[in-house]
Parts: sequence; structure tokens; C-alpha cells
Amino acid sequence: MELRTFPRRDVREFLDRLVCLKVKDGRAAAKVRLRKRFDVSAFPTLVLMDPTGTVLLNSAGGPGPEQFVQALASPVQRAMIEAQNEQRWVDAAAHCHTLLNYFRRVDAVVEVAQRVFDSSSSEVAFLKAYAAASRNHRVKLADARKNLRPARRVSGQPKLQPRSRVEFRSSPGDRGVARQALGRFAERWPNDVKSLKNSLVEMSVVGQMVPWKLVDGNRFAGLLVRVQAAGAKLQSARESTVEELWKEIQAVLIQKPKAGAFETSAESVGPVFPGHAGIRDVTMLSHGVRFLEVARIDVTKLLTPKLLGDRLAPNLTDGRAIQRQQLLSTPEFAILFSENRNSVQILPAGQAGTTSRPPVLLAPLPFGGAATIIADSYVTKGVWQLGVKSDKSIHCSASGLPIVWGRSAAPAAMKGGPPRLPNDEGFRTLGFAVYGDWGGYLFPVLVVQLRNASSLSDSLVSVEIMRVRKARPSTTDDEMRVVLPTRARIYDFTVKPVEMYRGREPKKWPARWRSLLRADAKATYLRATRPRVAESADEKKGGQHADR
Amino acid sequence: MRIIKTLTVLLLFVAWSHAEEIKWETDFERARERSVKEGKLLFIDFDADW
Repeated sequence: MELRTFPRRDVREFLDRLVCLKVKDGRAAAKVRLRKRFDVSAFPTLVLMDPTGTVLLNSAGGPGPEQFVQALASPVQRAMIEAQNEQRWVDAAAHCHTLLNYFRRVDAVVEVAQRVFDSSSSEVAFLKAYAAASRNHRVKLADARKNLRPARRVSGQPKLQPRSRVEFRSSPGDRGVARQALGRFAERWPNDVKSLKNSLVEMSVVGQMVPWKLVDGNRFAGLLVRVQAAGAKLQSARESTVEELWKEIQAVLIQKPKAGAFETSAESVGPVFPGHAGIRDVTMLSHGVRFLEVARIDVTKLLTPKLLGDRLAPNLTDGRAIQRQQLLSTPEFAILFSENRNSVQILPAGQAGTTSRPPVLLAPLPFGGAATIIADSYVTKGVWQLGVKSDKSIHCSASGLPIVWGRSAAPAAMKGGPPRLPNDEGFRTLGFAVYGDWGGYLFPVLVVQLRNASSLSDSLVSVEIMRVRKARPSTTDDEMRVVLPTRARIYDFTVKPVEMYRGREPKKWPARWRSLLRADAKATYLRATRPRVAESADEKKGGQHADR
Repeated sequence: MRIIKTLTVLLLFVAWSHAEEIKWETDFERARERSVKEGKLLFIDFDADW
């Protein structure tokens, strides 16, 4: 280690931030006492102890030079997660701080720390704890915030993170900020939302469902975030914590359909969606810090025998009657999010967990209903394309509203909208661009409608998320925006502009685009600052002891 | 002139490399005290002479 590990620059740099103690072999009483205390039976033995005296690591034998930093980072990470599970926010924040500061060079660790930070149930509580921890650890709040939120300011993109103490006190937290972001999306691209709604109206026979289908879609996206948080906490959580989380999840999941929503139309079965169908039981499997959620939907609540028997049966052919039987005999479906987070499967419950199957959507679509597919995927800066694919010659159309659900302060944003949908090859795509350095979680909401399917196997639809073009490392955010500069281009999605403007100076962009960007930035800034003023009275009332 | 330049560069290099060395404590109590005071993790390396 002396020769190979410690001289390394990265090792040296992070050891420089710790207090390092070397205890050489010897018979001095103090050394013997220390060896006994830490149960040293081999050389070298590495011990990592936090300021409170808790031993985070006691490992006989030294890791290789390459793994050294990682080996010391993971126990701190575990300690942080444990502290968070036990709601010891100050400890968790201190460890988080340790990780972010000391192990900044290990990207993976920073990512995990950031994720745990993101999953904290209350951002404000965490930041307050962080501020307290910072005092103990002699770190300024400004530094703390800088460490936790390394978001770079992007021109034209409001910075959602608190910029001052007042803002910090009045920060509405993760959910609030996310809600703001969503609202801002609707404000910013009202036509997209409108056209999406229109397309939903066209595609869904029951127009009445449309408004709250969208709302549910958003809520469901929020739910996924929370389920992920639960996954992180599940790692070493106690039973009671899991139970509590579970109750919380179920409370969000189980939503009864609005009264009469299905009664207004005789033809439609309606979309298959947890919010509509009502989830009877939810089970979750945790794959480490990755999350796998299996939700069983009680489809019988959606396809009530009354609805099927009285209204649909006379119109069904024999084949469809069989489908009906199949659906009723396997009433429970599972939504399975694959572990690599880029596909979603809706399967009969019996088949849940068969990860070798290709991603398929199996939903009672042959009746002419529409299904809402929500696939979540972590996307980074680049131009992405979402494809809906069906190998059957069925009529399939899709529309979608991609929602980038990043860290609340991340400058991740996206521009996109319902694509123009060719009808011939059964392949639909939805293009959008993600700019900003951090990316975010993407929740495209697709509505797929199959009109001419004649059997259950015809209604298999696979959903794929693919990135068409990765952004060059040097691509600026403004360049990314130019990929989809105007609404017209959003609908006529093409990756051509990236090629066109590769290597050109920004000042050579068309003046109209630049003015658009400027106007956009100004409007966004005004929108971002306006509500703050209105809420100032509440801020004063609510946040007086926040920074003590 | 060239010799002076070279010597200066060498001197700077030596100073830099010296400054980059890890500072090891040798007394546990003192290291512990520093760890608490500065809010830093304490890293102990039990090592043999041979």
C-alpha cells in the first residue's frame, strides 16, 4: 500500500480530507491496546471511524489501489442510508456531506448519495438537518448547498433550488417543486398539452375520462418517484418502516374511479390504468437500490361483468367472447418495470417476474379501449426517441407527454410533444430532447389504441425507449434547445438540426431563434419569480425558526 | 539563466511533491481529538514494518 496505493493522486487527495493515523507494528502498550480495541489480526488492517466514535469499516487486508476509494466510500454510504431510515437526519446529512465532499471523485458514490438525498421524504427537513450538521462540521450552509445541488444555472431555465435563506425557508420541498415544474410545463407549452388532450379525446371514446386521466398520469409519475424512494429505504429498513411506506404507497395507488366515468358510454371499456382500475393489492420486490415494482391491477373492477355482459357481449364476435373469458379468468395483471429501467411490461400476474420475455403490453385493448403506458427511464442529455412497436398488423396509435422528473433543482428539461403519427407500419415514435447536464427521470405517457385486433395475442405491444442521438460533451444547452426550437419542429421531429448546426457559432443562429430563446428566458424568469412575491406573507409566518 | 530557471522549476517541483504527501498522525488520542474537532472521519491504517 505504501508503494502502490498511497502515492496515487486520487487516494492522496481524499485521504487528505480525513484524519489519518498510522499505527505501526510494535510492542508498545498503546499500540497493543489499539490493536486489541480494533481486533487487529492481520496487516494491513484499515479502520474508518466517524467523529461520534462509530466504526464504519474494519477490514483486514488492503484493497487494491483502484478500489481503495470505493472500499472506503461504501461503508459511509451504508451509514448514511441507515441513519436516514432511522430518521437521524443530522447523522445522515453529515454522512452525505462526507460522501459528497470526500468521495466526490467516485462518480458512482456521488450518484448514490444524490439519489438517497433525492429520496428523502422531506427535502426541507433534510436541508435543515444539513445546516445543523454543517455547523457541527464547520461547513458553511452555502457550501453545503453547493455540494448537494451542483446544478449549474442554465440560461432561460429558472433555478428551482433555493437561492436565499428566505427562499430556503419557503421552499415547498420536492413535491412542491415538482408540481411547480409540471405547472410550468403546461404554462410553457400550453398547445402541446392542449393537443395531447385533444388527441386523448379523439382516441378515447369516453371523453369524460380525459381530464383526470392526465392528472392521474402525473400523479402516477409522482408515485413512481415515491416508490423508488421506498426501494432505497427498503434496503435495510425495519419492518415497521416498510409497513408505513407501504401504506403510503397504497394510499396513493388506490384511487377509485370517478362515479359514472364508465357509465357514459356503451362502447368503451376504458383505459387500463391503476388509477382507474383500482389496485387491490400491491407487492414490491426490491433489487438492491434498484427498484422493481409489481402492481397487481384488479381488472375486474374495470371490466365489470355487468359492463361486459350487458353492454359489450352482444357486439362481440366469438373470438372476442373468448377474450372476455380469458380476461375474466385472469383478472389480475402485473405492471412490471424492468430492472434496467427502460421498458415496461404489463403481464398477467402469473407471468410476472419472467424477465426473459420481451417487453409487452397485454391489456384488454381489443375492445377498442386505450391503454396508458407509463415507462420510466433515466435519460441524460441528448435527443431521445420513444418508440411503440407492434409486430402485428393492427391499428396502433400513440401519443404522449414526456415528463422529465428530475431532481427538483436539476436544470434538466425537455421539449417535446405529441408526434406526427404515421399509420402504416405499426411503429410510432415520440421524439424529444433533453437538455441540461443532469438529465432526469422520464415518464412518457402513451396512449395506445388498438382497433382491429381480433385476438388477445394481437394486442401485444412492445414499448421501447431509445436514444437517437447522444449529445456531444461540448454541446451547450442552448444548442440542445435549438434541436427543437419551435413548436412546428416539435411536431415534425427530426434530428437534422443537430447536424445542421454542428460546429457553428451560436451567433450565427437565426436571429428569430435567439429572440425566441431570450423571450422564453424572460417569461420563464418572470413566472418563476412572481409567485414568490405573492407568498411572502406566508413565508414570514411559516419560516421564522427555520435557520436556527 | 537557463540553469537558474531549471533549478527554480526543480525547487518548485520538490516543494509541490512534498506538500502533496499524506499527513499521518501517530498518536491515537490526538488523532481522535482532531477528528471530533474538525468533524472528519478518522482513518486508521494498522501496518507492519516489514
